[in-house]
Amino acid sequence: MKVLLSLSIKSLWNRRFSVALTVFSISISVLLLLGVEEIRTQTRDSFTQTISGTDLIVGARSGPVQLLLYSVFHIGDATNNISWSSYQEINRHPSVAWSVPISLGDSHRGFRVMGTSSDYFHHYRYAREGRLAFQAGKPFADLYDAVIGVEVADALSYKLNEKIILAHGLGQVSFAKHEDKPFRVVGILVRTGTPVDKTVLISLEGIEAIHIDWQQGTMPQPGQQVSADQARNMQLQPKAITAFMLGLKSKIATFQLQRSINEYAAEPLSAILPGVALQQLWSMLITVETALLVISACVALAGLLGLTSALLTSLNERRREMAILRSVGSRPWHIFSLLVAESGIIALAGCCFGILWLYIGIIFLSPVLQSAWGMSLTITMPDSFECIVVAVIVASSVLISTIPAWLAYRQALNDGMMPRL
Amino acid sequence: MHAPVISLDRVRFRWPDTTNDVINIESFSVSKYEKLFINGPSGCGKSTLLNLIAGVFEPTVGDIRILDKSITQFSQAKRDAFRADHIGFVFQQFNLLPYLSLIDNVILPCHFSKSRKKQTLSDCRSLQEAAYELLSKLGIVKGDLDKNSVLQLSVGQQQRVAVARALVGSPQIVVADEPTSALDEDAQTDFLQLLFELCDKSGCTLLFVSHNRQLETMFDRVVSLPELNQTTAKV
Repeated sequence: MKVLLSLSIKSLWNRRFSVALTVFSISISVLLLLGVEEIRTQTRDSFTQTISGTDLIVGARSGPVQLLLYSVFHIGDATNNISWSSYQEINRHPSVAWSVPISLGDSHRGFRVMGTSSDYFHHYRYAREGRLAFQAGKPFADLYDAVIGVEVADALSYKLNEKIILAHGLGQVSFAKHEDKPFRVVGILVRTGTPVDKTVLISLEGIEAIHIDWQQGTMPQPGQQVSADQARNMQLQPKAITAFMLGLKSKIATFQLQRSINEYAAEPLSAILPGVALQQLWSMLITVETALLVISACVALAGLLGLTSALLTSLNERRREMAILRSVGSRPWHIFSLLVAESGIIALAGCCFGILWLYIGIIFLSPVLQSAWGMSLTITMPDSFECIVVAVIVASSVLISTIPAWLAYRQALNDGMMPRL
Repeated sequence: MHAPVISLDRVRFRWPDTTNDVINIESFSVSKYEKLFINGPSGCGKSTLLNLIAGVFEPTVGDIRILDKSITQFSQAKRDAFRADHIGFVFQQFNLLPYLSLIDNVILPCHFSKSRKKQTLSDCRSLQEAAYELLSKLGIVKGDLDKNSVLQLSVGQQQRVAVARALVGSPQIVVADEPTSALDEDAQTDFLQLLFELCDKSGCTLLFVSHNRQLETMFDRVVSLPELNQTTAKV
């Protein structure tokens, strides 16, 4: 009924300050619900695209998540290495467009060192079309050049041309250092929000050079050391690498090549689709997101209870109003629907403001989040989840408001036209 | 003598789960165009009687006829609609909805009663114009109309706006419950004269309830509610 709607709007406007508080508390819960969901989906998107554009990652035989963890996230160790000859052979497969080798095992003050080829800078992609870019310097060219991720640079306050010593093994404090062959920082990468930020990148030949005088993983014996300059003239082609990334000419060949790598006879290998493995890894983190959603749902519930209590406390002071409405001929159910309409309007306004806060928040926080964590938030049209949240909040506020509405209905019946105030 | 517009026949009312009648009226009637003064000190069942006549409460036993219709036979919804169509109310105080403008307060009954809306529009071009006309008859000048809130009006002005609302669309019956008790003595007489004048013009019956017996002399007839109501219960 049109007159009831206009009455409820005017009545709400008359109490606009207390109503504004209720609207605000609902908008905060909507903001939290949608904000958590937004961050969740966007982190999932950026997480599952930590590496994109790569069709297959190949390593020694292991489970897909483990291979992904050590090759991309630099967590844990490879089960085994891959021989250079196997890498070369797969690289010659007709459907392979490009390949990037990865060699891990060393570190620098707690940050992983990754040996790779300069193709890495061309082919590594993250978050849809993100390419590695340099905030300073350029890719490595010399044997003893290093490129560092932004977190390495920030944490250790490294500038270009800094001399760094790599350590053997992965410990934060290492006693086996490659002190005879220092590296020079020639490039610092822009933040990506991926493990690349925490990585020191050097060439495969560099990895080979620092280990050239090592025997079975132990430090060189006195007299057998090879100096940095001597190493330049030696054969630096690695005998083994940790893993490699493959880009294919056609996506259609992916599964076929994956199978033939998995069945590769000369060496036990595993080829994984990074997207699929990332999804698997993400699904392990699902409890965290569920917890976040539960918390925001509780906040929404608190907002709804606030709405109900605001309606309940207003009932007594509005007995006169109800009596006047009764005297001009409104029925008890008019009173009932008046309160339900009010609560629906409050909830709807709360939802609209919540979405507004979210968008304003994204606009202002997105640059900060991008530079601090490499998290990219973008404004999207309200998706189905947001519509569901709004619908559920409005519906439950209407539902929960039937309690005060019913009390008002009873009160209107008992008071008649002369409430005893 | 005109036909009765209100008549009560052996009406009793008691609250559910109580044993004493609050109202026990053998016979009571009000004739057309009559200006009836009901003398009702507090605690004699005055509110309950008015709620019964308005059809808000239903008698436990007995019959209430308004305008020759037995409203006790009506459903609650029909009684609500019937009240909206035929009865205007003025209460003691706080008659107006604070969130509506003066004009919107006056035309409020027209939103709940088609017949009063139709009646109003048969005399005037718009509801607003009718309200404005009524208000000016009641001495509410243009300056008062522009006030932001009805609460900025004096109590006397508020009561006159309430009269305009009770009379809009010319209902047959106006029930006034202590409308003058918040006014000073001079204002009471002025208010009554205005009320009478407008009731005469629109041809309605006035039921006026008050504990102030000084006003009795201005009415056609006086009824004492404590004498009329044969209940032993204290309300």
